[in-house]
Amino acid sequence: MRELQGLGFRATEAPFEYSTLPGRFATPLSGALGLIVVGAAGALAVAGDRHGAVLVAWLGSAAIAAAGWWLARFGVLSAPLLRARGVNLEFTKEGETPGVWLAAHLDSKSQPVPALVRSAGILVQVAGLLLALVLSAAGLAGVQVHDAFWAVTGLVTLAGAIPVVMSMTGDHSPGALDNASGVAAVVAAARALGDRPGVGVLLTDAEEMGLAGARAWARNRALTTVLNCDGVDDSGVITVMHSGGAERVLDAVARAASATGTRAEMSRLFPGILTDSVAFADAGHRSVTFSFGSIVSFARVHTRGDNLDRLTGAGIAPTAALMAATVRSLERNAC
Amino acid sequence: MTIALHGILAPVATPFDSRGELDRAAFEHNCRAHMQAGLNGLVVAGSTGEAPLLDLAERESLTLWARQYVPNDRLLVAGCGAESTRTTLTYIERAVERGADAVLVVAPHYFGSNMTPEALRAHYLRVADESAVPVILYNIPKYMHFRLSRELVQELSKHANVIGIKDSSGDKASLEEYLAAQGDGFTTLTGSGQLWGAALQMGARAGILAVSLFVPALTRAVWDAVQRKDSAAADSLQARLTPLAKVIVADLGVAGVKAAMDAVGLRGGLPRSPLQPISRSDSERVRQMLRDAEQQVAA
Repeated sequence: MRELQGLGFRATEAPFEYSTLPGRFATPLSGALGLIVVGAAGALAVAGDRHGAVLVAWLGSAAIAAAGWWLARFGVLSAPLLRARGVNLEFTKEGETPGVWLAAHLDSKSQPVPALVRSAGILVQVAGLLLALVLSAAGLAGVQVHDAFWAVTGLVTLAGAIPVVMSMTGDHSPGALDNASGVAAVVAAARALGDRPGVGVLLTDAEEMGLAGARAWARNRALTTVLNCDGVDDSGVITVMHSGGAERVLDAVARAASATGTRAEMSRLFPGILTDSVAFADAGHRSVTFSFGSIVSFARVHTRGDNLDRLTGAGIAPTAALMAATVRSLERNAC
Repeated sequence: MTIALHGILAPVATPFDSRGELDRAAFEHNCRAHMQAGLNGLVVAGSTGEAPLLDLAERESLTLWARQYVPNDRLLVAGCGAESTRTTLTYIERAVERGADAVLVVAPHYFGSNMTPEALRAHYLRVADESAVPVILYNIPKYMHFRLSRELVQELSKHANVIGIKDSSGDKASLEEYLAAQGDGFTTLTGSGQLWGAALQMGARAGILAVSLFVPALTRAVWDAVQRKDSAAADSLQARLTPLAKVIVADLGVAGVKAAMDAVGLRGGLPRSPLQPISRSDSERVRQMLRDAEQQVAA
């Protein structure tokens, strides 16, 4: 904070309330429910109740998807259970309304399984649910589905569900990579931009609790551009992730990468990975997330091993340089 | 894309919070009420929406937020007029991205004496050629300090992507000229609440009326009376509407419209600087006029 104030920024606290229900329990609950749905559909199918199997598989999957969507998008701010308070920090220069924000989340969390394993589990479990949908529909259509297919589907779903159900949150990760490094990169980018007007810095709270801080910040604000930074390791490549609607920003990143000779890979966010960009984009803002590292970095996220013993900060300078260059190359009226 | 301009479109006000930023909750409250009042669509970032005082991000925000309340069988129009063709096209591009069905384009007017028919023709033809949604021309001499000529409007009306003109001159002769261009693909709308009934009787098919923001039922009643060819009722209803349109909309301007919205339980709030709120006495006058017009006035 002192560093940003030294650059001429003025800090404003933006408190908000949210529910920790989605952040703490949505993922493990969805894992358990998915397993129950596949198990029940399989049991009904094996017992010869084809209609029941279809009903359970399709309605159950739809209910999980709908509940997950609602909890993630709205429940995190409006669900009445497990309420908590958070504070976002906004840094702006006197008399300015920023047209572009540099953002990073301040909080961290731990889980019994690394983020990489959890994401893989989500993918495997979704595959199991899709298999169950196909098998139940095939059975209803009169196709003879051997019981072994249901057994395999159940095992696939179980294999995926285990890490998902284990994804209870704790407070045992120092959060060096996720996301002290991102905060440092954002501060470095702000420093690189010097006196350039129209740039703000946003440090969000409760990202690890269902993107609560970003959702609270984004919901009632005039549309803007947010360059988010989440996870800057010592080696790897810069990846710029988005969840749609950010074409203009991606163009600017491409121009900046070309101008600075930086290698940057652009991709949609991987399934099961959430960053504050998702919350910004859901509210209509244009946002991407800068990250630096490799799959090895991802395996460290949300574990006790995410500490300063394994992070020198070598990736911060190139990531910050690309973020600053992106701000400079944002087209006229990119907003 | 085929769009029918029909009925009453509400040129929504832009509420601001105590810091002068967009007040999303107030804006959405109003949009919901306008739609529940049975109006045929919304216009964001029009004159009543204080368009010249809004930046690009704010215009985009209003379009995105309004879209949630305008079902697909009604219209969302975004005001996109700007002083340069380039900026106008940027506004249009963003409005389309955020869900606008059509755009309302006021003529550039800062360099008024240079806005020759050739300059305006070139401007509007390029806008019409490049806009991904239909374009509605906008004539408002009060702010433009000139008017779009009949000849230019006649010519532009033949462009497949120009679907109408909003005439806010408040002048029957001007309206009549534009009505001559009306056809299957081109509609003349009035922007004058004082002329609403007369405009419909002259053949106008629609209106973008600030008065509909605070007396939607009365505005609608004039429309209904004209549709059932009950000219006596239409004239009587228009006689109640005219003073509201003249004093609150035409004389007091945006601040008057916002005060009237506050008076009927909507959320108008204060205009953005340099516009000033109306005086206390004018505010009481607005409330009294609404009471006289049998509108329920919030305490």
